[in-house]
Amino acid sequence: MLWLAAILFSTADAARAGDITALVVDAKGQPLKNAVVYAIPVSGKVAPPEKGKTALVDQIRKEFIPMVVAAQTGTAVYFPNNDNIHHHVYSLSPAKTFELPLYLGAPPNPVVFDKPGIAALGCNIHDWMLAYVVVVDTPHFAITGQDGKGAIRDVPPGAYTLLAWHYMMKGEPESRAIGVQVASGDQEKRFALDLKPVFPIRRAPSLPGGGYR
Amino acid sequence: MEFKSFQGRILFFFVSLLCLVLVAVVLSVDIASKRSAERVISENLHTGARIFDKLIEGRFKHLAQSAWLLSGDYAFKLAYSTQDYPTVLSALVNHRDRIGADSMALISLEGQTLADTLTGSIQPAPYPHQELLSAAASEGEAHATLVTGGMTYQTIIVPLLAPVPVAWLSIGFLVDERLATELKGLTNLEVSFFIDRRGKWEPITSTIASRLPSPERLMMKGEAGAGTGIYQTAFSGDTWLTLELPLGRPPGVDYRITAILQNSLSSALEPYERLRAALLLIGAAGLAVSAAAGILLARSVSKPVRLLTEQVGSIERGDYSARVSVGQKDEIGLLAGAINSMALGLEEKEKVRALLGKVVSPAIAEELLNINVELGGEEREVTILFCDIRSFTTHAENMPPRKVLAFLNIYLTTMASIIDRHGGVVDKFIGDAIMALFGAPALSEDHADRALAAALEMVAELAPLNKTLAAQDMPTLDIGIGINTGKVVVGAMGSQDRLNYTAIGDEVNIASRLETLTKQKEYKAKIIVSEQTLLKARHQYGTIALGEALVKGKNIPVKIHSLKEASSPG
Repeated sequence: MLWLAAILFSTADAARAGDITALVVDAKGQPLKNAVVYAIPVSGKVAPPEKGKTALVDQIRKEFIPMVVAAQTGTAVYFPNNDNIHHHVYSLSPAKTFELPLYLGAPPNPVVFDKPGIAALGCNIHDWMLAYVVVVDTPHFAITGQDGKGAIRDVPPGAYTLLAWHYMMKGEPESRAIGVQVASGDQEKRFALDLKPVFPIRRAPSLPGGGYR
Repeated sequence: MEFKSFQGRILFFFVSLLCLVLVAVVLSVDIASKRSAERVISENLHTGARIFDKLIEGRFKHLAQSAWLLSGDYAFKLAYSTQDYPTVLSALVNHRDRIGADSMALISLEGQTLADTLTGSIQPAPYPHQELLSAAASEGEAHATLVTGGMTYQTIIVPLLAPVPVAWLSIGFLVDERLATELKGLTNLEVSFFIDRRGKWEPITSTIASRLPSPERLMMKGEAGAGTGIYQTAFSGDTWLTLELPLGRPPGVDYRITAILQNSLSSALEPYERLRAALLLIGAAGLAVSAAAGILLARSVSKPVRLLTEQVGSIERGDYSARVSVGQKDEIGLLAGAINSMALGLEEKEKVRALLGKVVSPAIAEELLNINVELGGEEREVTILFCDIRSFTTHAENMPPRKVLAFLNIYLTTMASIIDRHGGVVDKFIGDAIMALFGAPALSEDHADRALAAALEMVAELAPLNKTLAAQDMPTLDIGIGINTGKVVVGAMGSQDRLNYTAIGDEVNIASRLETLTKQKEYKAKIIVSEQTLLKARHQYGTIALGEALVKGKNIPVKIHSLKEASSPG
């Protein structure tokens, strides 16, 4: 299942860091937004997250902003509530199970995501609120924008496995891993992902006759 | 058709007319009702089918809402996240009861049943409707009517969201008699559910089946798969309009559930049966009323007609005295009045006729009644007979007047009847004298013979008459008779208002004079006849010539003869 196209080393350029840009598209070639691309060193040696490095998932107008957050394993994630109503953030995902019962403003303590994996966040008050915290064992990650491109900056030279994940993709992120040799200069890798249908949850839960349509 | 009575005729027409109208009304109502009942049933079935669809859809919607509520239920999500399946099963039972469902199961995204309220098992087992899970995976939710564990359920599959799908929830509502009864209550149609296994039908439940013996249960659906339209089928002694309503073919199975909606023709015709009963009742009442009215009407005609018939019958028999009263002012009343007037007229005429017969001789009376009575007469040859009682004045002097009258009546009756018998008519009674005419008013050729014969009989009758008189202590009598023949004027004489039928002329006077001559002793004759009479007579009579007599008021002497008594014509 895991395949590595190439693992190359270049000692001459070992001291220079580089950027990896990943283009994520669907099967039809349409760029995919909110995909997480991340590069894991083949050596497996990564530094722990910088001290004081945190991530943030806001709650604004009853939506999680941003919808997809990537974080290195061990990162503390804050869930400030910018609405004037309560939210009840939870995750039942094996990667991180937690619950922030009804609260306003910023909870005093962040949630530390100490296992790699994907945590689907929900709000117990608002069914449609959905966010993903993608916890990866690397500090080298990026999230694609509107153009489907995500640039991982300042990657130290070396051999990496480049992976892409999108919440609509079929299967696991590893299934679309690409080997990357970081040397000097930019390089762009392209991911074409097969998507599965995802049904948006209705925003007005009290209205009858809805559901996935 | 012949009727013995007017009443029967009236009754027949009234009743048969009403019957005709009634039959026409009942027939047309019958046809219209049946048509309308079929139309109503068809409409009911179509309406029922739409309601049914809505209800089934609504049930799925309700199911889906309940399922979605559960799929968003945080406590359940927490229970699920513990992976503690006894707790999950318990939560499923709790939620099943909360929404009034009949079954609930939690299925992994991989298609393994993790907890199932139907079996009460938490041992992982493959979910039997994998295709439904696939449909739910691609559609977000899926529902179908399916057979699970021998029972039929409306089954819905929704994901358990946390907040992304983490498992499947399967919720089922039983398709059973309760549902059929509820649907019947809402659609007013008989509802049955069948499993259609490619043409092999198995009944599930039915609002009719519970009332039917089992062999008939399969007949309910009529011709299997008879189509999308309404068709008729007959069972349990009734005709049923039937509509099949497949509930959709579930994915991945070789059967489908079909609902059958039915309405019996007789139940739709039930209100009409009441209408018809009312119609018949009204018709019977109308029939009775019109029969009574017919009888009354007929009687109002036939009763007076019968009375009038009796009245006319009695008039026919000569009884004019009866009068009929019908108490009506219509044509029948007018007829009764006319008949009464007629009877009165006849009665009066009869009175006049009877009186006339007494006052004048019957022949004259007849002549007077039959001919136009006009003043004036005609010249005719007749024979005149005068008869008188000898010495009547002497007799009368010795008797009281009443007895004189009785005496005269006996005598005159006897003589008048003899004259009558011989075809003569009594012209008039002049005291004790009788004037009789032969040959007028009725014509007769032998008037002379008749007069002579009458005279002979009158004399011959004297002996018996005297015997009768003597027996009554009355004096006996003797008579004299004078007879003459000649041309006289006969006819009605007098004033316009009062007239006599009589004869006038010299010959009358001569006859009277001849009678007077009988009183003369020298003639010794009871009957003196003029030669004129003997000449006219066709027979020979025993006579004695008395020579000529100069009659008073006559210049020429008349040859007279005495008629021998008891001599018969020779």
